[in-house]
Amino acid sequence: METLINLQSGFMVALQPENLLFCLIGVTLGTVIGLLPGIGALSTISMLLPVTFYMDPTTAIIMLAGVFYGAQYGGSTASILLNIPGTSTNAITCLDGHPMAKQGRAGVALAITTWTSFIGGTFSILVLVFLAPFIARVALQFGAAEYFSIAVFGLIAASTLSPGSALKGLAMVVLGLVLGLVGMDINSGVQRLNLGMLELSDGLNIVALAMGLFGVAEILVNLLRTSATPFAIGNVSFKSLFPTRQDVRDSTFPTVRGMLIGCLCGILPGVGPTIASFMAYAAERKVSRHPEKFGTGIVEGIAAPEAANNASVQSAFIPTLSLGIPGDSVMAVLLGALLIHGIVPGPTLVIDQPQLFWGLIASFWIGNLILLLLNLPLIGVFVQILRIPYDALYIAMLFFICVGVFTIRNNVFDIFVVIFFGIVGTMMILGRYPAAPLLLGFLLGPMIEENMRRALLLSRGDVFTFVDSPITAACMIFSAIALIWSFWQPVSQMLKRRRATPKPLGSTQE
Amino acid sequence: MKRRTSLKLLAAIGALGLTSSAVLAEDFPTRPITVVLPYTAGGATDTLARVIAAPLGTVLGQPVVIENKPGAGGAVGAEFVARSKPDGYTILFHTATVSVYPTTQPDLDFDFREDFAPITLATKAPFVIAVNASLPVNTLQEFLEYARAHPGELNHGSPGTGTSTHLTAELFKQKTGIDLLHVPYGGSSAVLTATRSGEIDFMVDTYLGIQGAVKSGDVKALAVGTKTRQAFNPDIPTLEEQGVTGLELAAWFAFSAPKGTPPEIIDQLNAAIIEAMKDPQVKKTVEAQGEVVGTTPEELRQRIAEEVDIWAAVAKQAGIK
Repeated sequence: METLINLQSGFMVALQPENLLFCLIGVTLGTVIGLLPGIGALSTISMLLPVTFYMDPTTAIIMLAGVFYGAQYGGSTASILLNIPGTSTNAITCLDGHPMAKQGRAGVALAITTWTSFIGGTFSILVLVFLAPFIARVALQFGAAEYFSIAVFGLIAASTLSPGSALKGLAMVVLGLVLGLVGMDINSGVQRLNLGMLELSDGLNIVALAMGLFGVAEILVNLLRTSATPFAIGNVSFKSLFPTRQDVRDSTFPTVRGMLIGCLCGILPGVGPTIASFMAYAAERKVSRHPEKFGTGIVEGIAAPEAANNASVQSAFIPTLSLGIPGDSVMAVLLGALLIHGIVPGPTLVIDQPQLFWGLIASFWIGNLILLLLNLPLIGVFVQILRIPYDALYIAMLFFICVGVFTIRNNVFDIFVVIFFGIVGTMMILGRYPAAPLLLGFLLGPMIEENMRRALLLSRGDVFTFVDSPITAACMIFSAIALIWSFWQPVSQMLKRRRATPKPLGSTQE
Repeated sequence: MKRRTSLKLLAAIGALGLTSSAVLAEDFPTRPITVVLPYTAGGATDTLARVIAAPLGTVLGQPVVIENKPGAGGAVGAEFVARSKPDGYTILFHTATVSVYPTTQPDLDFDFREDFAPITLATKAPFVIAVNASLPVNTLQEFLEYARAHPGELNHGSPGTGTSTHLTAELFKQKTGIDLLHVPYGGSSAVLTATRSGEIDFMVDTYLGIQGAVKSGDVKALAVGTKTRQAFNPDIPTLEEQGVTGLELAAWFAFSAPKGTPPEIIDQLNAAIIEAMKDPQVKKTVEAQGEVVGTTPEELRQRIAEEVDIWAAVAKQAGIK
């Protein structure tokens, strides 16, 4: 009850004209930068930060946070329409979103991602309102062994992430792991695979890698295939903005699973929205009755990851606000913004700064509502992007990608990285090697290595540390089941096929 | 007579020399100054640089622009400045990490001691020694006794092997003779998380990052690394008060220019930065984590030279290559 009263006062704060205006500015800006490939929330928020020095802290954080979650809405639009992810968190949405656009269902895809984004975000806001302190305490109990076991489970799921050859998928996971090794090993301080280049000593940048493999590669492949009008532009009527009954039926459970996975990934520091969306997609393929349809343009494939990344960016505020622990680099910058104003996030924030805490949470939901109202009517406009001649569009996109990766570190080197991986990605597309498992291997590899070595240091070399807590044991058992299942599945299908078509006589030579 | 004339001539040349350099310094700056910040935008060092840059621009009469060039623990940005034109228009804002480079990154293309002209050590932020709240200790002495009674059992968390925070903690361990197992994490906030949960027992960090955890009682701040207690939390006693003498553990932030920058310009920048730090907003930001210093260029040069040797010795003893 007290929570509801607090929330009500929060809405009073968030609905003040100034706060409402900056919330609108934040989410609109977020949508735009999300739409532009390469330019992400991190560089935008960092650039806006000095401006906020002179603002009221609540207003400042409302705006900066709006950019962060607004970008998640915008990012999927570019994924669906152009097959170029707006941000790395939306990369996985390309797999089913773009085929839908090719079938003339771009409007439906955009509507579904907007709705699931809204639902995912709202769910995490509710968790934030009612369970934040409790959940933050539980998340704190996740040690190195727990992170290790979750990452292992995620990686095993990743090896079956994409349709097509399982062997090629596995090869890409391994390539991702190798790319994840680049840079300084925090355990020994030794530089690995940096080719003697100072710029590689912090490892490859995820944005440069994702934009190269998904964005630049897509542009190059399309330049190779010179086709005039690649796909039909479906009519976007008002009615088509609302999903059909069948769409709702197909996307309900994926959305629920996606938002649960996303919420969990956001709470755990260091996991974040990109891993959340990939995990959600992998989970959908695992539980689906028709995994072979993924990648052909089905709603499950866009609903789950979009619910997940929005749930994740919203729940990432739980450890940041209630413990003062930033889960990723965007959160670290937002934490910095609070500290500049002399506000110290932590368990006492709710008591010390109730106006800020509840006002911010209320603004999240208002911001999500604005995004919903902003994005749905704009879908018709967005779809018109497809009418722009490809030559012009692609040059513009290439430009934005280069500017985007440059702004991360103000370093020309990253432009070469994005172009290099664009060429690698082009060859991968032509050879039908999936990029998604590579990206997940790249993200989870360092997490697995660091946490395994850390857990072994902490346990003084005792390997049973990986099975002796309920969380680690459960993850290890699930991993083992997933592993056995993925080996068993092709075998059982082969056996089924043999039983179905009895061998003709005389073919015993097989 | 002849002698006199030549003396006059000499004096005239001397005077000419003086005026020309005076003119040079008066002419500086005629365009915006770029401060290269070798860390990401939005971090604590970035904030500090931006807060100083605003009044510095007013003092110099030209805008001061911050350019973030992060990478390789600050080495990417430092290398960029080392290669820049030594005219005072491109300078570096850096941390004590530059003293660690010769030890941990010996194959860099520059040597900070040779290739830079120090301007001033601007501000200092003492390291705070913090432990997990469930450890049965309340003072530094109690902690040292406890650690000596349990050698090798306690865990020390750092934001990465060979970082200046790691070496600072190693120096403390070596001076006090305690044996803790070093466990590296990928960044300061991860270390703090682990110290709160009890995975890690001991850490050092500047106050800005850990203040929330100290206030909520999740970690205990046992000592500050400076000679005097600090304004940000006067309840934390110093090392010396608790019997650990001859040790200063502090992060610091400084400005340096590329080698070959005219000394007049260095002096002018030095004076301007010290003047700019009198600004109340600067004072407020700095005192949240430490104190304003403002040394001479020579003092900064000596400090870096001394610390390079200290870190080399610490790393050798700790077995870090």
